[in-house]
Amino acid sequence: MRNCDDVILRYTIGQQNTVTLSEFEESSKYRDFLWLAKMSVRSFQNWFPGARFVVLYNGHEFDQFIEFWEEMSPSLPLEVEYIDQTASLELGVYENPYSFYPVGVWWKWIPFRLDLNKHEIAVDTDILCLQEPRSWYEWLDGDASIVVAPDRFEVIKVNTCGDLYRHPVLRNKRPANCGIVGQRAGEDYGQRFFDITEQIRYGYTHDSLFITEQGAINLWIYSLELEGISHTILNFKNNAWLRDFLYFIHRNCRVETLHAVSWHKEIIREMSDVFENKIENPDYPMEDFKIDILKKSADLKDLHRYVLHKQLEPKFRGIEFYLV
Amino acid sequence: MSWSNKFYALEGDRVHNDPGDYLQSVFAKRGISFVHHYVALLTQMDRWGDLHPNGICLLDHRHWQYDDSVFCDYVHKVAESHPCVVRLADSPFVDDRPSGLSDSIYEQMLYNRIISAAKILRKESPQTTIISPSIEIADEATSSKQVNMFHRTSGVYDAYMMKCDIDGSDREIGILATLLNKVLKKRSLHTWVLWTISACDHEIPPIKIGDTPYRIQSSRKSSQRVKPIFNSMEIAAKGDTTWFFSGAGRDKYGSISSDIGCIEAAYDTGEWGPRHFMGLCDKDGCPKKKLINAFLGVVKSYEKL
Repeated sequence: MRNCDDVILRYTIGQQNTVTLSEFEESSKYRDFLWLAKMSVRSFQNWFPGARFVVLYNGHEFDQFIEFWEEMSPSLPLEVEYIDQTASLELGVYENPYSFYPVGVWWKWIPFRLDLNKHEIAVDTDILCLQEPRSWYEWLDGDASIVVAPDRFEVIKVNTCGDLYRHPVLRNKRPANCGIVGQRAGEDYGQRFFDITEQIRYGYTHDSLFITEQGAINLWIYSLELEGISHTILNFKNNAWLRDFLYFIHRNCRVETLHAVSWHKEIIREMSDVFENKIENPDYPMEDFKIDILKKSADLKDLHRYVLHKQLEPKFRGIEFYLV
Repeated sequence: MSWSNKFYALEGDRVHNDPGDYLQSVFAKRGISFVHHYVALLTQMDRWGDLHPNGICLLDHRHWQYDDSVFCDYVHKVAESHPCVVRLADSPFVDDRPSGLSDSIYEQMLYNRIISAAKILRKESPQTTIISPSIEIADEATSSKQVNMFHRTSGVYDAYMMKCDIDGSDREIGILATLLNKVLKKRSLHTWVLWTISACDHEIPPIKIGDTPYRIQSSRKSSQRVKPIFNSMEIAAKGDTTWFFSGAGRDKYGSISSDIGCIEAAYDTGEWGPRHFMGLCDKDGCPKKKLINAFLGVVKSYEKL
């Protein structure tokens, strides 16, 4: 396993429109969200010994958040640092780098860099590390300046880049997913990102609240590429989505991380014991893990079961190009 | 008046004007003073003998129905009464925008009247605090016009006014805080915030037969958004704010629905809207306790700092 004392893994946790921590007991959806976030941190702690783990929080009850977070399972074997982004902005520790007031996903990039001397990777809270992430280590030990997650689609469209999808720089490009965004030690391209965000019509389009942030990341990497600043898009079969990961495991691909985009998070929550077992026991063989998932899936709702089972059907199509 | 407190409540014209005993007492317990808010009625200039010396005076938007000379006479008259505070306009780009004028003509007229009014007040009533028109949530094109107008006129104000009557969704918080951000970037000034949030816990029958009942967020949901709204605006304004509760009274919905004539008035303005449900008491005078507690909770937590 790689010594990762040159790495920071950072997560950003916010609050949803209608849920406050004071009503936490009633708000199972938010509890589920926090559980998955903590599972994500826990899973990466297995494979990043020595790394700094930082949780950036932009909700409004920081102390209560810490209390809930620490009480909740799973426990974390390594230390985690917590940063209250709201207070930091209020106290002037961080400046608002946007021309608009950041809400939701835009908080992820305040600050853009925590420590320039380390390889810094922002990881979304719905990504689990299932086994040694060799594809990540390759980037860490390679030359590319930036690393990003793969997206499931072949070409940039509105559903991958929101309001920026027609940008000429993005024409016919393969989309990256902003669930994982890393920069090499000594490099900081934040200013380019914030220059790009000047185009954002925050709040005036639906996509500006969500997917356009991913569009900004895509424009960021591809515009930097024009200047010779390279990026790596992680391999999709190694860094799979929940809707495909059984398909890849079944074909003996090495699924290292699992991204539960959108409502697929519910499936992980419903099978929490299987996933907790996998995270707590990194040596638990992937084949057994797959079998346990399939067994457990018998208890799922029809649609959730379908998402898993269809991956093993012979007619399952659409992602073969990633096997190449 | 020194305006040294962080929080006040408003009573009077164009706000939820009658706080009643209950709200008076809960605000008083928390040490929040009521400030009188009034419109200097353009059509009753001869009867202004009793303008409130410590109140906040809002210019009557109906000056748009008159030419510049009438407007200047009107502002001279206001200045003669040496009001403590004058708000130059409430909602010049949204509710109070006169119809029939092109954007460019209206924007130039608005600019001219803001500058004229400020000059007259500065000269004839130098103690008067001049407050800007409201920074308020609007569509994208209108927001851009607002920002341009603030950038052109920022030099004449002593403080900005921001109308914070949003529902508290991330989207609305983001839009309003962004607007404030953009205005403050040009010239940083103290910001006064007119603050309330709509809420209703009972079903609102439709105005038109056959329509579905009107829905608005519950006081529970609204109360959850109070603190995020406050914190976000505080960050955007770097804490240089004074907050005025503008909903310390009954919902306007009740007063409109109680008689046929007012229902007709509601037809004129379209449908029920959030503005009809921005009181801290509902149509029957029952306090929206969750919401009141949320507002007072913000005051309390601020005092702890």
